[in-house]
Amino acid sequence: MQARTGTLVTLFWLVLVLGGCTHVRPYEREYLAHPGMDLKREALATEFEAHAHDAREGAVGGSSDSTGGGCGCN
Amino acid sequence: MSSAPSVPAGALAAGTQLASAACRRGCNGLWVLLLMAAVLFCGGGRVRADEASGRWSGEVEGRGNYFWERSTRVIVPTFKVTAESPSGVHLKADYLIDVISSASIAQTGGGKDGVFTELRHGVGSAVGKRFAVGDSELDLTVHGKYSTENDYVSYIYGVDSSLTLDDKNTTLNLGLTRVDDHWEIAGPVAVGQSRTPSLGGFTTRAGVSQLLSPTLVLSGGYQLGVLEGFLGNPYRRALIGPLPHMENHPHERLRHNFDAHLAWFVPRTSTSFHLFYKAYIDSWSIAALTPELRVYQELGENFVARARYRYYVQDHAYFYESPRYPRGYTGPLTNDPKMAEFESQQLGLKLEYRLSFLARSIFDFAKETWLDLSFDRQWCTSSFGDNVSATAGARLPF
Repeated sequence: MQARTGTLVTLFWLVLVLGGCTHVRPYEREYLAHPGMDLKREALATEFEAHAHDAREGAVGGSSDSTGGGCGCN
Repeated sequence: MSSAPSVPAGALAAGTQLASAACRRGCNGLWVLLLMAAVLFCGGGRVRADEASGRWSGEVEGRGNYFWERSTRVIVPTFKVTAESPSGVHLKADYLIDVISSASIAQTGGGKDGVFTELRHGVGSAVGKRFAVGDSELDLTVHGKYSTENDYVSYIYGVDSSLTLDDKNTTLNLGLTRVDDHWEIAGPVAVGQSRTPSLGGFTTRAGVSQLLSPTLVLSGGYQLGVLEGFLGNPYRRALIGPLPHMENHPHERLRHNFDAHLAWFVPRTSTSFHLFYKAYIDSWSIAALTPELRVYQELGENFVARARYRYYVQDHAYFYESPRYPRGYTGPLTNDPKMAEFESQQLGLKLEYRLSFLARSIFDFAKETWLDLSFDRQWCTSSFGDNVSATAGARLPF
């Protein structure tokens, strides 16, 4: 499983680096402002969900900003 | 008129004295962060005075969360306020109360089963400021969270930063967070076990977000977590032979998280696709993968529907044994379901609606309010079993 994970992570980063060649100008960003693209709207709901997952799953952390701590969530 | 932030000398001097006094008492980074927050805020206040014609903007959010599984019910009302000044100072404050009702021996702290209700209060805050650095923008934020139940207190605090580059096509993120937990165990403890154990540690995360096209964004990052101290549940027991023993987890844990997120907007149908992927491994030999797909569909300007599927799979910790450890076993002990090998699948639906019909009425101020309702069902092969969660919320921008 670790080898497969490493391959997928490498692929994501490769796409990221190659994609950096494209330049998106400020007036071309209207689509990125649509509600479906703005996940900051869901930050508070995501915190609750991350806490629920932390208490029941071994893999804590990542982009969900959860750090563990307290209540047996470690 | 200068727009450069400047900090009043009195505020700096007072802050320095406060931090020095705190450190003399054996305190730690929390006070330093509070000082940094004060400096950021004071600097912003000066700029705000220079830009008196601007106005603050922000959002008020209230939310009710509900979680149900075989042995646990959780109700969590939460409240959050965010605000940002024209000069780039931004503030956040939130509060939650976690009402946990559990029917388990582990949570009751004794040898008998029963329903146990527990309250957790959490208060969080953050202060930050955006600075112009040439053509780029630097955002520095200090944050802190205080969380308490009847038997523990947790402090989580840290610094987050982000830097935009290349006309905001690229954003780099860097953060450092400290965790500081203290228990006061109710009920019996094992011989040699402290009644007031503690846990300390930190997490640090580095990430990058890149615009790939006007409709495509890719982001990813790595987070390292280091925890040291009491990492078990003081009320849970594991069996060695026929006899229950207090859970005894290793006192150190190193966590590695790799995450990636691809977001794609389809203009013709106003559909957004989000693909998340997280890979995790830690020093207890738990390895986990979490792919997730979310699809957002806009239906007109005031309605958004979201469907999601999340899959989670993990290996077991190296010291996990089920249903019992052999007689004479002396290594780390656990009876924690999340130390086992298991997988889960989650399906969810969310609906959002904007109250634009209130425009030009006496409730015109609320015309940008979004109401949302979501429902998630998770099927899980661990002994926690399946669960259901639901949330309802309202967000009012101002």
